[in-house]
Amino acid sequence: MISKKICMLGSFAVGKTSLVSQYVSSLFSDKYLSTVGVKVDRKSMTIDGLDVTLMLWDLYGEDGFQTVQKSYLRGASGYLLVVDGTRFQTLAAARDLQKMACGVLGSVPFVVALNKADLASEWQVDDRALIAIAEQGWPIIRTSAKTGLGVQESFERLTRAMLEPQ
Amino acid sequence: MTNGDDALLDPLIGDVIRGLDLAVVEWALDGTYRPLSGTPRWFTGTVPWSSLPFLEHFVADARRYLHDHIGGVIASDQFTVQGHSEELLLRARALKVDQRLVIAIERLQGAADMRPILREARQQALEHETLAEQARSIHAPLANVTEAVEHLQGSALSEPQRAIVDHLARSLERLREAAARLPPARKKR
Repeated sequence: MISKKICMLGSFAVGKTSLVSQYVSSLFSDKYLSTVGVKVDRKSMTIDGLDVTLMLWDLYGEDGFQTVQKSYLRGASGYLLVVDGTRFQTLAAARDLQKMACGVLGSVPFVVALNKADLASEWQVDDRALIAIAEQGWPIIRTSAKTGLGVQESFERLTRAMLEPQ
Repeated sequence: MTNGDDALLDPLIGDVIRGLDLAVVEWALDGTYRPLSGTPRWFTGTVPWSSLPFLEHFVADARRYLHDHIGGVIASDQFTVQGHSEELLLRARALKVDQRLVIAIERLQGAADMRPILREARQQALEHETLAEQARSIHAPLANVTEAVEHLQGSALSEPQRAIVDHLARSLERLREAAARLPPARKKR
């Protein structure tokens, strides 16, 4: 059994905990309960014939109240960079976090989860911004922790990338 | 004052630890944890200590820190584990006693549980973001209308038309003052 650590990174209230909850337990709650401490969930999966256990480190969102400790990234094989599509500023926060993660982990795989795809009427992250990200070679997947859209795909794509020889 | 060995032998210590609702465990080199006290009530139904990746991470940090800080104590960040019926907020502290790594884990409850305060603060930050967004959406059309009214004021108008435009300009001034009081976007920290 292969064990891999994945960190959930993103601004506060972008849906990191909800994505983990949807992926691990197929559960979603509309109630926003901001993560304060660190929570680690496990998810076992078989991918391309390999049994893998993912350790999903759900870190509290980066904001003025709490700053993500770099040491929590230690040992991570990859990370999911979560952006709230209805809040443009979370994209800038994601860029900062990516730089920080790159500084700590080097060029490990990551996937950008453009979350809250179910809230299309409130969408703020436009195509121009997405093209700019895609041009940097960042893999982007539209997700909805509420409907489950793209959630499994995000984690599987990241896991596949992590399993590839670096 | 008794020395450390005497204190450890005193059965009262077990009651004190139980009374404080602490879990005290010793970390062994094979990665296992040996309880030095009875398991607290809150721990019933959770996974074994050895299955907590956060604790494993903390032990690695603690070993490094305590290697360089003889007699020191290091506290972890807050972490959560799923308890029997609710999520538990915990904090660990580690120290070395006779070269043995001892970890005391406490459940953060009541005033020590900062979650309600932080959640409220973040909820307010979200609401502020929404308000600032709404304010931004007002400023652009307001500037357009101001420009149009100023253009009209500079034009040749009849007496009744000028009265209307002046009335518009005064109303617009009040609107601009109100808009200026709307919350600005939060500065990035």
